[in-house]
Amino acid sequence: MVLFLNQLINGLGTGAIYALIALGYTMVYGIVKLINFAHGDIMMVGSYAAVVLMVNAGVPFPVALVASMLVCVAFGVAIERVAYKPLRDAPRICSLITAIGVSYLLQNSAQLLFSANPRPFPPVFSIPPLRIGGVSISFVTLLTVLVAALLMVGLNLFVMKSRTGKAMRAVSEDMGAAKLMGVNVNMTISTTFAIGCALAGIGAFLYCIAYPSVAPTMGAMPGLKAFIAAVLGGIGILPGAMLVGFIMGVAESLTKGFVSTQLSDAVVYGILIVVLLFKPSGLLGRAQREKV
Amino acid sequence: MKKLVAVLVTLAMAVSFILPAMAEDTIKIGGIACLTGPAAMYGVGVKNGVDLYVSELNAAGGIDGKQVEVLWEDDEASADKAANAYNKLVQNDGVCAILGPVVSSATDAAADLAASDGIPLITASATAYYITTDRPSVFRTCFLDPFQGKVMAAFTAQELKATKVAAMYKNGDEYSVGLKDAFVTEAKALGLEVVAEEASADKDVDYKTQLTNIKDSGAEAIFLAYYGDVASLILTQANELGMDVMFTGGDGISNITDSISDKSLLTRMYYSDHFTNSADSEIVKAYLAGYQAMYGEMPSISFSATAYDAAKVLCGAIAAAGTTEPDAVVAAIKASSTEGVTGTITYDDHNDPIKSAFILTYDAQGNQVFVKQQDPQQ
Repeated sequence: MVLFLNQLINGLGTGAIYALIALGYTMVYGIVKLINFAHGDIMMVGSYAAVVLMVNAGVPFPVALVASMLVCVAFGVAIERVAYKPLRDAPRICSLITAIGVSYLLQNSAQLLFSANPRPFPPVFSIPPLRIGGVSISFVTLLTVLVAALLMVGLNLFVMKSRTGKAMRAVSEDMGAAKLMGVNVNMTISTTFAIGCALAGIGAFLYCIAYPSVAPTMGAMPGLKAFIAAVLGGIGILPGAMLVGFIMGVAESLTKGFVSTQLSDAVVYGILIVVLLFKPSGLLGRAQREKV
Repeated sequence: MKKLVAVLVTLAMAVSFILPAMAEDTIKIGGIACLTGPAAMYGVGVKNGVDLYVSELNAAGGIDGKQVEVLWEDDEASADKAANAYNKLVQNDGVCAILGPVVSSATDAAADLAASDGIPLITASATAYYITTDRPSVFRTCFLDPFQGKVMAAFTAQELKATKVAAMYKNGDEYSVGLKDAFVTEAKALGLEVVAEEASADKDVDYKTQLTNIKDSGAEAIFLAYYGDVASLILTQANELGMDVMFTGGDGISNITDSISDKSLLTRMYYSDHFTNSADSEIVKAYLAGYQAMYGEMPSISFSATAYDAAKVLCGAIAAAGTTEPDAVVAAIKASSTEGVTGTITYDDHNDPIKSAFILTYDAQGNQVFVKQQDPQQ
């Protein structure tokens, strides 16, 4: 039982990281209808920014956190302007392929700049794990779960209640109509990218605290898992992405712990197939009728 | 005038008789190494090690009063050039034995020829298993990767005094699985209880699940069949889980200082290597002093030490055989027990060395600390 609880907590820790990255993914997809495959690599950019600031420049970590978030935002907005905006009216497959291109561009540039060898992420917290009976919960896990939950609630409020959030939903529903109603579409999309990338920046920080090793290809796998979480949760639905992120983390951890290490990814992707077979719009997604 | 010619002819004849006689007084050994190209660093290191031993041997009188001469050929780490170099050395220069080549593919080519000619060949650095398979005249002085698993099992039992051990490895990775299997087999043979064997997949970053299982199994020491980048993640996550265990590993661990952020965790990590400059035995100190005197710098790669030992094994065998006749030298190598800088070397049925490994750990600042030379249990 203790072993089971411990594995459950491990799963929640991993899941919180998937959830955190999935939040940014699902925001961009829900509003711009673009699968931003470079999202995981923005996270990598944020991680390198944090490492360079903390190790090479000796900046304290709260400053480094804010600065690396700003770097992520700058990259995200610039990429949107240069790579995605000109393709907004092109068929969707074009922007998808461009996104893959941007992802490789970022990975290889990082490899050129920082070499393929992983760099260590400096220790930030040295707080011993919390122990309840035989169950131990590491501080990083607690922090990640908490931050992910708070951000999800905050973002949901922002999208549902604020003026910008309203504009985002309007753009998401019908870009042309929103433009006619006086919504600044370009500004709204830029804001969406900025928020999504800031989330990637926070995600990068928590990811690096949990797995203190920064490498050019570090964003690929979490990016893919977060993408699955976003799709399964119902694209554009923040609580859905969050929920599925956690489910995936726990499923992975329990498979590794009690069935087989080799099968864990198979189980995660198996869940993807099963859910999409029965509920193509995602776990929390509503089926949308095609408007004619 | 006629007399002068006669004298000159006599002299010339005398000289032509004397020259081969003088040549008989040197023992010629062929050296093949990648002295140029991308692997040149290893080739030059191997050449330096061999030349150092031979110059020391010659200064001390050589073998039975005969000086030893090593003729070097560059193979540029290519199999073709290694075969050409072998043919040139054996057929044109008439060497009695070969030291080298350096990389496994080149060594394979030269070893194939050496085996069919019955010429003794000792490589200091080729770690591929098949190099010595079914080639009775081919030997090496570096140990194979899985051998370190055996040594670390002995170390875990004797020095760490653990009774329950666990092993972690990467599925589908030859280095990792080989190392893990050797460790587990030897640990069981030594009476240790192997309570967990946990696999991971390529590019995994999360090892908490496996560590949680190991924690539950009550293991006191965990063998990590990984390179330093993964080992650093495992050490960090084990610390997060509050685990109080020791870690062991093979030479792959040696780059862990590049990737770990909390250096104090490294004091729990022990790993084996072919050689270390920080070992404190007399023979190692003498080797380092000799190297420093001859090349003006400390040896930077451990293969210089295994090359030094390769030359020592070969020259010792020639001395013991009392001849350079190939079969006798091969038999002498097989029966030899050489006290080299990398440990006392004897040979097993597969012509792989049985020798000690150097066990290393770190202090809290991440500086390498030499622990001991660990012999495998026989």
